[in-house]
Amino acid sequence: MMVVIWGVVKFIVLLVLLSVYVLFMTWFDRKVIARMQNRVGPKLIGFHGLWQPLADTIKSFWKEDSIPRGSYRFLFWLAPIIFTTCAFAISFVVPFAPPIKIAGGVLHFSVVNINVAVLFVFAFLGLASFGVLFAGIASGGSKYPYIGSQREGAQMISYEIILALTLLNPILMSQSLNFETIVAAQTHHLWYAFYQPVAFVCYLIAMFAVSAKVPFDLPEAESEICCGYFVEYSGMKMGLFPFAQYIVLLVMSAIMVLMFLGGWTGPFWSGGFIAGFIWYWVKVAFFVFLFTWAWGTLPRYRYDQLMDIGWKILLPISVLNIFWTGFALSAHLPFF
Amino acid sequence: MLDEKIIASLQDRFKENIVEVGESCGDSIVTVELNSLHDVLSFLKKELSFDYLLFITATDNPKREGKRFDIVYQLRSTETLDEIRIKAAVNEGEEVESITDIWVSAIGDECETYDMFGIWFKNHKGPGGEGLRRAFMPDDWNGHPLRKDYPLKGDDFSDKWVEKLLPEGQRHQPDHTRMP
Amino acid sequence: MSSSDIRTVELNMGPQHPSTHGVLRLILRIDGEKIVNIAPRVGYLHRGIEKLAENMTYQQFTPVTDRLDYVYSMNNNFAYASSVEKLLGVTDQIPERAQYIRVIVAELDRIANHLVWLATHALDIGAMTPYFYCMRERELILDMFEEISGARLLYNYVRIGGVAKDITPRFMDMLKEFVKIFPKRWKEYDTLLTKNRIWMKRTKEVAVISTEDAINWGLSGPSLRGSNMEWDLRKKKPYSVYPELEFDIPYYSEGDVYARYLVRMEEMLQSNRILEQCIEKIPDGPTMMDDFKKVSKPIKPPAGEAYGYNEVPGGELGFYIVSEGKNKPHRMKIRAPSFVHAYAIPFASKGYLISDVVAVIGSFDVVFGECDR
Repeated sequence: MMVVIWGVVKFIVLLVLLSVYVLFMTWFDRKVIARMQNRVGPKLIGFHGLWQPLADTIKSFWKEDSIPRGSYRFLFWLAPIIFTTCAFAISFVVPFAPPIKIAGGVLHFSVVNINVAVLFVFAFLGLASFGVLFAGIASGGSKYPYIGSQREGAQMISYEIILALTLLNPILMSQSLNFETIVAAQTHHLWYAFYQPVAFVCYLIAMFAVSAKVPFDLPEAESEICCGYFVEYSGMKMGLFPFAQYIVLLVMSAIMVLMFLGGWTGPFWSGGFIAGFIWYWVKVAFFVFLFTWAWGTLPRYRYDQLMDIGWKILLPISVLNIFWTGFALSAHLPFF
Repeated sequence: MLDEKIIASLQDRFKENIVEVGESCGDSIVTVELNSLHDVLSFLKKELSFDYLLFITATDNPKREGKRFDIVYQLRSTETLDEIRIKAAVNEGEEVESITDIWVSAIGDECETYDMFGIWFKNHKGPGGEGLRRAFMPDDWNGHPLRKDYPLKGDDFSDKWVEKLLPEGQRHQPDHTRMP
Repeated sequence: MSSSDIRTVELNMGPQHPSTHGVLRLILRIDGEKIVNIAPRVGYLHRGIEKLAENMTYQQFTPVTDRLDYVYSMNNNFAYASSVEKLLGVTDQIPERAQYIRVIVAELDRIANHLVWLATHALDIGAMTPYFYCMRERELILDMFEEISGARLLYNYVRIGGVAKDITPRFMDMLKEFVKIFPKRWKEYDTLLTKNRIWMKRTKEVAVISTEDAINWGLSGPSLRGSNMEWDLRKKKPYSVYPELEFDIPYYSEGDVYARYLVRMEEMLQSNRILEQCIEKIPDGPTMMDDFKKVSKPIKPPAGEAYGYNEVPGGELGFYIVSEGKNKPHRMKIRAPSFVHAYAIPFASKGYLISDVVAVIGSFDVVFGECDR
């Protein structure tokens, strides 16, 4: 019984925290990109425009919610719901702070602490792309959303494979699918990024592709297919897509930190809840910033080039890397 | 000013078909007969290296006796830097042989000339096998705007055409239906 | 419908589309992402400027030429003025100071246009930041133009017979400052894009145009120079004071989008070089021919016709003017580079992907005020 109550409490807290996070993430994105581009960014509402995202949210709630005449209304409603729900679901298994030992057990800072967390993430990441696919199909034969969702489908299939293959290396090394165990395994020796530099880089690239951000933002390439799959959406239904995307982005960064960069451990001043918490969020914030940085710097890849990178370069490298890891582990090479 | 040799070789090849050789403001102008226009132009490109078509246009002279329009081709050679202007008189209803098989850049210009003056080009081949069509005006437009008899403010047809496409609320209402 | 048509989809790109640079409409037939056929539709910005010209005096038409390609209005004025001067036969009587001022504003405007082109072209390919860097420098140029002409977009500054007003000492100071800082600023765009791996992948070997095709399709200006053609009217058919100035024609042999990008980037530096020389060489003297000082005094060219042309940033802008000895032209045909380039897009982008179409549109620098006239 206690477990269920704790789960519900954590669920509600996470829901609220993530919503607030997304709001201020849009502010952060706009402010950072503005600085990179000799602009000021949001300025008027609140301290340096800090309340701008709230104003935007209120505005998008009051926007006219139009549904195209030829659309499949059910799927049209369902698409943003699926996308957002799956994005939240992914975040349930991700720990957002180091666990604390309290009387009678351990307090985990994830909604559920399951032993197949990594598999759970992949499952719901795959499901999340259905939201995008439905959005394209449900838009009533409108072609730009259709092309956008086509691109999203292809991109998801190609890059989830790479994501899975790269994450297999830390899983092999720690022999666990639980994030906290994997982090604990990294405290014994160096972070996995130092053992698995190839997998680290491959994951970094696949991370950008899976969360559909520049330079891989093909499903919503605004200059080619005018924002792709959510062209026909308006109001808060449209707002849910970037909303979910920001959560995916955060979760991908968090998984990156947990799997490769030792989670809440640091090179110095580690141990203890506060230190772990700070280390963890500094690392995650760096990757979140990296997304914005890439957005401000890089052009966009082309569809066929994206597929080439995925299938011709990253896939063979990741497969070879797994063989290497397996060999190194079974042969008990130094450091492994 | 154009090299005498070029004029001479043109005159050599198309003796009867050349109506007039002239000059204005330093530009050489050769007026030819309409039926030899295609041959003259392809001869100029293939034999005399006038490989660059600058534009095709027409002029409307309703007061002139004889044929109403002049169709104008401006060519340039990228090797010798010579320029030549070929003209031919066209009457209302006469068709001109298209030169899209010689220069692809003629596609746009021919569409424009047809649109603006109503001169029809035979055997016009656009991108993907499209035929001659209006370049600027809508396909169901009436009249050819650059003709001298087309009023500057547009005619009755143009008013109706615009009204037809406007949504209900934006249509111009007759004055008597408005509130006083 | 043949069996191959079943596989393809018709996609309507424009007239409202973020990267058709105005109101170009392309009807694409696509097989997956690959383009099978394109039909261009222009004319959504058709204002009948050629018809207007027949109903206006020569001086009245000068401000209308601003509205052709609104990104390089100064060059439009310049091309129109030199065409009318050719018709009048006064080309060699223009005061030398006026000639130099014309070249200065034309080259400044060329830089401004190329900055706008670079900004939008980079935005089409997905790089957002160069846009704001380019607008920063364009702002300096617009300030300069505001100083001499009072306007920031449609200048009406180069007039028949000279220029409207003499340039001010403040303008010269601003110009000297600009010439000094521009190469440094140019380096910033260069670092952002030229050696960028993604940029090269997106632009190299895309829409390759051979020299023969480029001439056959009527390309001009930087688009032609990207196809291994050393062609610049400022050198080949010199006008104004260009023969006295030293500059190179950048041209590249690859013929792809990247080559056209490099040509335009290089041209900005060459224009800067011309400006440096103009600052030193500009003489004192009148800026307008006495005959044309009064705008109200009608110009009546003798009966005849002339085709005058200039190398504008987009290519070759020409005015074919037929006069019947009256104060209004009998016929004015504007040879607009954008119009020719718009019709070359289908040929250049056939067989490539949707993403390449926007790169091709960007690389031709089509602007629809000029194309649709």
